[in-house]
Amino acid sequence: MNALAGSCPACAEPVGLGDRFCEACGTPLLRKGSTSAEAATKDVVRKCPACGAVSGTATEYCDECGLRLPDPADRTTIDLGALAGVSDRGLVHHRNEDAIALGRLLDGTTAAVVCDGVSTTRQPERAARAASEAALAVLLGVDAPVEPVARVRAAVEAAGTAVATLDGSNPSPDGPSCTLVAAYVAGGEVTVGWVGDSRAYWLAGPDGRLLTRDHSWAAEVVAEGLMDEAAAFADRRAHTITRWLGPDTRPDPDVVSVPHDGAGTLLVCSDGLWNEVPEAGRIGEFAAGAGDGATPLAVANRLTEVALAAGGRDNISVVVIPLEGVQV
Amino acid sequence: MSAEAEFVVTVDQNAYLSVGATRVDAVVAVTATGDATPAVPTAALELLIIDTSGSMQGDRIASARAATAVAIEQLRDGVLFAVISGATSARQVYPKRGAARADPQTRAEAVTAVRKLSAGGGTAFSNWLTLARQIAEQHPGAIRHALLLTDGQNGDGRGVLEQTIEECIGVFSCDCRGVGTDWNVAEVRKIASALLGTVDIVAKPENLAADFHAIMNSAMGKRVADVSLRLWTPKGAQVKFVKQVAPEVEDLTAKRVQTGPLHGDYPLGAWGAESREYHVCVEVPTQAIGAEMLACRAMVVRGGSTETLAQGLVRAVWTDDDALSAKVSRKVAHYTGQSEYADAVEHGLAARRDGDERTATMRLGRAVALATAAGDREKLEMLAKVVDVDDAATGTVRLKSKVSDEAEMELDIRSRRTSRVRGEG
Ligand SMILES: [Zn+2]
Ligand SMILES: [Zn+2]
Repeated sequence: MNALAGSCPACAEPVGLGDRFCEACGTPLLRKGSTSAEAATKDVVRKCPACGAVSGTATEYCDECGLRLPDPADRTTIDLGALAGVSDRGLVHHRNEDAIALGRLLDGTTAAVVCDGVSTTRQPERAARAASEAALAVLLGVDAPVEPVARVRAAVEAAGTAVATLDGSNPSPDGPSCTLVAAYVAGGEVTVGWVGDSRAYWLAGPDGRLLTRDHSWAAEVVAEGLMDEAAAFADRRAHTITRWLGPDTRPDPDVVSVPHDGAGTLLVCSDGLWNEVPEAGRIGEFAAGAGDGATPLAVANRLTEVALAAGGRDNISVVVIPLEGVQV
Repeated sequence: MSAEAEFVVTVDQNAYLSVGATRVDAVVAVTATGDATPAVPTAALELLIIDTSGSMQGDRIASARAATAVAIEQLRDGVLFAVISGATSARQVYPKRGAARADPQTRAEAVTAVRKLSAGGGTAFSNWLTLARQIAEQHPGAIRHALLLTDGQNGDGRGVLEQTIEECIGVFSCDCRGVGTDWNVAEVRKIASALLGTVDIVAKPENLAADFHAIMNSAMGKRVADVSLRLWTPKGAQVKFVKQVAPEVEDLTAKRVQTGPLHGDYPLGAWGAESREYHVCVEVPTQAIGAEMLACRAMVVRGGSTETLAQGLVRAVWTDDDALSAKVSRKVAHYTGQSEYADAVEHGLAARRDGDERTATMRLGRAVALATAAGDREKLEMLAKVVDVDDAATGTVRLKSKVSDEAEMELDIRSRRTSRVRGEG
């Protein structure tokens, strides 16, 4: 048995740190949710909101009027109380190719993953869903390394394998690909690993600080001092990503680990948010605008609405994790 | 490995529509890939119909005999076949009745019988087709194909040919070849169009054998009898037209058979390892910006069954971004030009025959402009035998005073043959 972490919410028996189930009554001590899990439960009834006809499961379109049926993944909302995530199709794209996965153990250990499908590949949403699921399973799993940086690296590795093996042993070069950002919050430390241009921010009141550095053309020319930020982001190639998870790429994440003192909020998001609100400070202001004592879900909804109001030109995914609720 | 073809449907279109727009255009390509080796084939019936009317005397009947012998030699073992000679009436040359099964002995016997063919009498297509139909009807389920060779004008009474063709639809398909320049393109095209076949001119009798060889090659390659294109369209939508646009332009709109409340079938005939493309135009009820609709589900189905062999989706997405909606799919644009070219040539030549020089000059000029825009050298060469071109880009032309019958017929017949273009990928 592990060190004591508290008592079972169902039977009040003591449970160990890192236990996934109560050993006395079997109640799961891990709460989690993801785009994939949500999609699986919502896929059953396919009634057309426009004409009322009920369609077969083999189609994305109404069998009568032809209008596209709402995709269960058009908007995913996951509310775990202490943290929450929203993933939205946006206003321009016709699929939500982002995926989110988040979870929390009874001891307060928290993890969140946001993946953004690379839309020039086939069925990128499959990559995003598989990668986010695989990474979360490692982050909150029992077998992964205890040391946070090693754990996050193992999670990215698992996500990379999940993407690379999506099409069995014959992956095609344009097979499903995605970006990934994974956050692991435990033991007074925030550890973030990423591949591509999905991001993590630390928001404190109306302030915000970017924790990641994009693997993108713009970020790299700025880092190398070849261009200033304004010029780089104005370039046509600005958003071209330089690293991703795909059929024939080895995951090559950057990982940072920073201590936290229980103040502020961790935000994990796809570029659908930060393209519309490029300044970290503005994101912090919008988050704070949800009001004092706003729930993580309220903040996640607000940030999504802000990105939609600004144009919603891409899929938008945000996961909000207030650090005060996380064990220091 | 399977002897049966595998179908793939791909769709080329710009799915974006501007606010209020209702017309959706797409090019649907149907490709069948299959085992190239003739494994156990679906039963096949080949009917060779040879014109033996009086006008065939001399070179023509000699070439027809030789070409028919070439076709017979190409019959795969086991294929059912019959040879019909056509004049005022139709007669079975080989076998005496019904169809024979091809093997070395029957092929040799058939060639011997064909060598004895002589020419005499008139021309009545309806009698030839009726005999072919009677033989074909004894072999339902087989891939049934006929090759009809003629050199003259039909002598059937008014409406008789049309009635006969109607009776043959769905019983067999028919490729038609005209030898010399005394036959009527429109008349023979009527047979080929209705019976899902091709029509071509073989001006020089000595080229017949090579042409028959090509036709038999394609006929023996067919693997699936009776394929249909099934178009599903949503409630309130309507298929405005369906045209085969490659390898030739053929309007299929009127061939629709309603097979369900929201779908209709267009018969495509038998298929081998080949690719054909169809321009589908659908009128849909307009939707709000951002809405996405399935404008048409294009399915390949086996005739008389509900089994879908392959399908492709034609979508419509309404947007206020003009940059998106203004784009036209390259394939749609290409084939729209090619169909317009075929129309311009057909109408231009008809006007020329009717003595309406003004219309002829205008329409043939338009054909020159379209062929120029498409960079189609072959078409321009054929046009140059009929008109003198002053300005190719604008289509300014003068009618030639002396045009050979062969050049005119070739232009007319081949106007519907299209060049292919790669899709957007
Ligand atoms: Zn318990
Ligand atoms: Zn509907």
